[in-house]
Amino acid sequence: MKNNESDQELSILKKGIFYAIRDGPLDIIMEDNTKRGLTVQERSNDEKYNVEAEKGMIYDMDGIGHKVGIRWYFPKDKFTFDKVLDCAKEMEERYRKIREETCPDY
Amino acid sequence: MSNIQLNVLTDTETVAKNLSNNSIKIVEVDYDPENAYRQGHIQGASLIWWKRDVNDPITRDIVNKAQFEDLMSRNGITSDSEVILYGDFNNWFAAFVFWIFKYYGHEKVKIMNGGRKKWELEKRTYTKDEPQIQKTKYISQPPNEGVRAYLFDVRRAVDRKDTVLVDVRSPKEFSGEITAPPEYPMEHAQRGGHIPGASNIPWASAVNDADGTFKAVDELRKIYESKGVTPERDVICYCRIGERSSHTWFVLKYLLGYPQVRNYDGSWTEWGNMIGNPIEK
Repeated sequence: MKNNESDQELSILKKGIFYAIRDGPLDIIMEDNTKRGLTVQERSNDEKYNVEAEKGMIYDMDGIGHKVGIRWYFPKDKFTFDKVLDCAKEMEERYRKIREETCPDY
Repeated sequence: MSNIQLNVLTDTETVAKNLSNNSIKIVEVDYDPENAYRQGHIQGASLIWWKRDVNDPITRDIVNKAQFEDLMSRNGITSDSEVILYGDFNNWFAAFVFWIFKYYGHEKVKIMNGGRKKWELEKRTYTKDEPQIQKTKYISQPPNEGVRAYLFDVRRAVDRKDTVLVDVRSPKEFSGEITAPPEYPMEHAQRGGHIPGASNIPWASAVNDADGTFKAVDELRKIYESKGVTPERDVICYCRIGERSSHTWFVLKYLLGYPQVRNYDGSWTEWGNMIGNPIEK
């Protein structure tokens, strides 16, 4: 296990409210800002994007742990920046909807 | 182990040798049964799920007497049964359930030292088979309020010199830097910090990091006495939701034999959310 710290050396290509896209040596890295501080428990394939992702555990109201993605590594030889940006925007939209439902006057 | 410890603690070796002993009821207590009990548990062990089984489903409270009796019945436990508890998360929730057993006056209950962590380190076997349990008729004792502290007890204790509050959370929670780690988004409070005058002695001070077992009594005594937690004072333990504090409650009351120790199960998620409660940072 290691702490969830993004590599601050890597330049940010684009930032949203809920995401950051960083420029890695081999990958374009998408980070979920809502998972900031979560301990990374494993690095494994993410089925949704079919890329490697760092994952942590979040416990719900019942105490059941769910593995969640923190950071996704999109290989540069397979993904363009625009493709990663689409994924980030889709994630941002998902969180916006949740915020609108739970804190409409935010 | 001392005689006191023998009454409340058992070890993995003893449990492993008694898997076919019908007079012993082994119960796994989990915070997260999906990632613990359901992935494998000690042969014959039934499950107590902290959220479902020992909490009232509506009100924030532990189960009442009738609910506790029903829980015992469903787990095949009689009032004479010798129960061995163990679980995930360093036995925190096993200790919480031990505290509830004592609240309802169950005599013969022990914790398996080291819990799942030690069992797994020793590469002992698990099964996914759930035991066939015959329901029992269980009649519990009335609640023993002497082991439980409520908000009003803690408010009264704040200025009393004969009472010591033990905050068993991490130093960052104690200082108010965080209210809960990001892994537990449901366990936050509106304010961070600690109850005025509390001593911060994290629960983990009492265990050997390598295998999760309790430290030796002499070592434990030094840890708590050096922070002013002495047997002649009333002691109230608290954490965030009352489970880590029941672990320390167990240490002070049963391993060190302190006469007056209570667990404040409302803990920080109650204190840190109440309007007007005094807070120190």
